[in-house]
Amino acid sequence: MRRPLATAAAALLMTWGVPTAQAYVSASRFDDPAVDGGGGGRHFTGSPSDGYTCAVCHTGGERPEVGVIGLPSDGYVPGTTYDLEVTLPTAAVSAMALELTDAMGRRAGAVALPPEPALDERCEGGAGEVAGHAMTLPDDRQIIAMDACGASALRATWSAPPESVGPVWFTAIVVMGDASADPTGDGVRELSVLMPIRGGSAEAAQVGSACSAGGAPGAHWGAWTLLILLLLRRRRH
Amino acid sequence: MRLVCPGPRPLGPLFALLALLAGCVGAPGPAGPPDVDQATFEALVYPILVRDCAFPACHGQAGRFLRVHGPGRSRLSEETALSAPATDEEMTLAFERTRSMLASAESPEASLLLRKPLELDQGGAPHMGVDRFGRDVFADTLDPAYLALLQWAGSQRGAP
Repeated sequence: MRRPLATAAAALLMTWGVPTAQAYVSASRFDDPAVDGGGGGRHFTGSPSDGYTCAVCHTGGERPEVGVIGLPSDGYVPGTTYDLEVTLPTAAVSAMALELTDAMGRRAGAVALPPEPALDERCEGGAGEVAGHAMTLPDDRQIIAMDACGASALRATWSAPPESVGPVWFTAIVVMGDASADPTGDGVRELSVLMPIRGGSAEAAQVGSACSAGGAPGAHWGAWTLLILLLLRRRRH
Repeated sequence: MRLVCPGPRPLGPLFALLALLAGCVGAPGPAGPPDVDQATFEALVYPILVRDCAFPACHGQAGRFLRVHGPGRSRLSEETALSAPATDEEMTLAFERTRSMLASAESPEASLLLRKPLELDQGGAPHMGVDRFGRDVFADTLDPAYLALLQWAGSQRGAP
């Protein structure tokens, strides 16, 4: 081993009693150094500020069904507060992280957890602690994360920026663990909603962004259209 | 497509063949991997690789040539706990594979190690490991992590 025994013991203690498939005990570990098994500052929300998602580690499982209520997907009004709710598979142990940013990855408005969480927002099916955590990172990013502890819903309020910051990305990543000790066999659901300002157009935010292999939502439609056209052309021959 | 990294590509045998041919010629020539410092790698480069590259769906896959294993990512041995510190075998493998990515380059900046994670319009080389917005790891050559890789690439084994 490269590190002293004490460090190894600490790492062992941190993972003690964690029955889920997550590589991280809680979202707070994303700020730990990568060489200690943390995220090294990455939070894998898939937002413009961190385009990697949990799918870089968690693979092979069935994608969880996730519902999102309350997003002003047809356009947000600056200064307005919206009540959001994310529902997760009740039978599974799922973790989640969500973020709202502008197209440049800067925090857009503010998100907060409700003062009195409902039972389904608590660990162990309502018997445990509150599963959600609101975090503000050193670079002012704000993330709502939910530990994988048996909660099945998360509510949050999003206060849109007081003035327009252009289209806003809502991104959320949900990981459904398979109760193994590693990230294989876990399913990941990646949610992205680009919300224009009310009366504006969301398309403007995508102009100039390089949508390639890992492209932003909707980037694959052009490729599918091209493929269908090619197939139709071959059939005519 | 949401997954940022492709499956393993069969580049390992190609690099192995190239290395073998280079060895047959005699003493390591300018095409061989440079004699870079391992201590600097462990302190400076390995943490970057674990943070940005070693994901199980990316360079943590067994089939990749640049292969990096470590805590919280994927492990070289199934017997190693996910959160356990890097083992000697993992560190050596990461060092040798990363060092090989510096081979056949006229300068460190021209090496695959420095060009693959760099945006194309900044002089980078094609890299499947872009994020879901199509961005490569380093936006430009001023990224502190890029500069750390460059510093190590120019180091000499045993140098302070």
